[in-house]
Amino acid sequence: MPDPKYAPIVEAAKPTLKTPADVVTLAMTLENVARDTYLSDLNQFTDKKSLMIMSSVMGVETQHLATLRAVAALLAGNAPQLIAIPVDPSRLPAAAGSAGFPDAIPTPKLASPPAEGAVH
Amino acid sequence: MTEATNDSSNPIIAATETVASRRGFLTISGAARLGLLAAACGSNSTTVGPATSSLSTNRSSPSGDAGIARTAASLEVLAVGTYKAALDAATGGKLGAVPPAVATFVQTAMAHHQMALDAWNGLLTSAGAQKVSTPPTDLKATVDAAFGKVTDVVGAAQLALLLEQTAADTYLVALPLIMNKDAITLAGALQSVDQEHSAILLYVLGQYPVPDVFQKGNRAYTGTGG
Repeated sequence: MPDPKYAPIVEAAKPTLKTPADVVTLAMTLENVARDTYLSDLNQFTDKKSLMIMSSVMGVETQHLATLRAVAALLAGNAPQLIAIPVDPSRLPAAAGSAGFPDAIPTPKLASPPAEGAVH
Repeated sequence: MTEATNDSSNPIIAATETVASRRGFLTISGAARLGLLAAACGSNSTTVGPATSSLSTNRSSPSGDAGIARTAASLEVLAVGTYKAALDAATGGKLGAVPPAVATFVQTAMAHHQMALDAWNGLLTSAGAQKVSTPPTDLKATVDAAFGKVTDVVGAAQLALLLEQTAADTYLVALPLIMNKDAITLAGALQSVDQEHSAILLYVLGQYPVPDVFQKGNRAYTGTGG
């Protein structure tokens, strides 16, 4: 069962997805909510195994988020041809070197509370 | 969460079962020496328990929150110093042509690690401990040797990637050992941003930016810091 708060938001967004940037923006939101939720919940655990699982997943969600931010910046800069692997680094705009991580120390601004997705 | 923790076929569950004990840390790291994480598990207790609001500062031992904070801060010192050296080398023309995105990355990442260092030192001094201003000697020697062989931007980016992955994995593996809530959140936040740095470095280096389904922690620093 998906998160009851965000499932309807995604469903409502689907018909509005017209461009790659639309898809990237929606994906960024979901990854940001996930990363922030994990980060917010880390200090609530009393069980080491659960803490490790959550932090291991968070470490990957945050890479998705950084990548999507960089992709969004390249789309916004009308440089979709640079969204490629491998990329020629010399052709990347300067902003590509910082767009993926706007915060030195991320704070969980978009965290969902633990009870939001709980099965009652 | 209950379903996930009961799934013994899940590789991350197996990994965390290994990581969850002192012996596990030594096993997963392959380290023969006691280092940050093993030292942080100096007691026989394997229970995290409810996080507390005070930072343990037993200065005679590397174990506990203060020991983890000191080692984390020393890694941040090393990161700042290495990025500064890369910036100086680039400015001095020793790395050849430096793409604008790489120059921006180095400046941004260096500033991030300085802020991380300041945050750890803030936690330490607020608990009555001293600031950290030196890198781990053993790791610095390794990084210096590697940096001495760097002749271009690709080499510098590869070294930066190694540093970022080491930092991110060290935070990941340290997290279950930290008792203080603020320190847990700080370590998680820094794990996150170092993973972000890694993703962009992988992309710049022509690799897929998200290579793992779960962050494994296998590159965590396990040295003595001395």
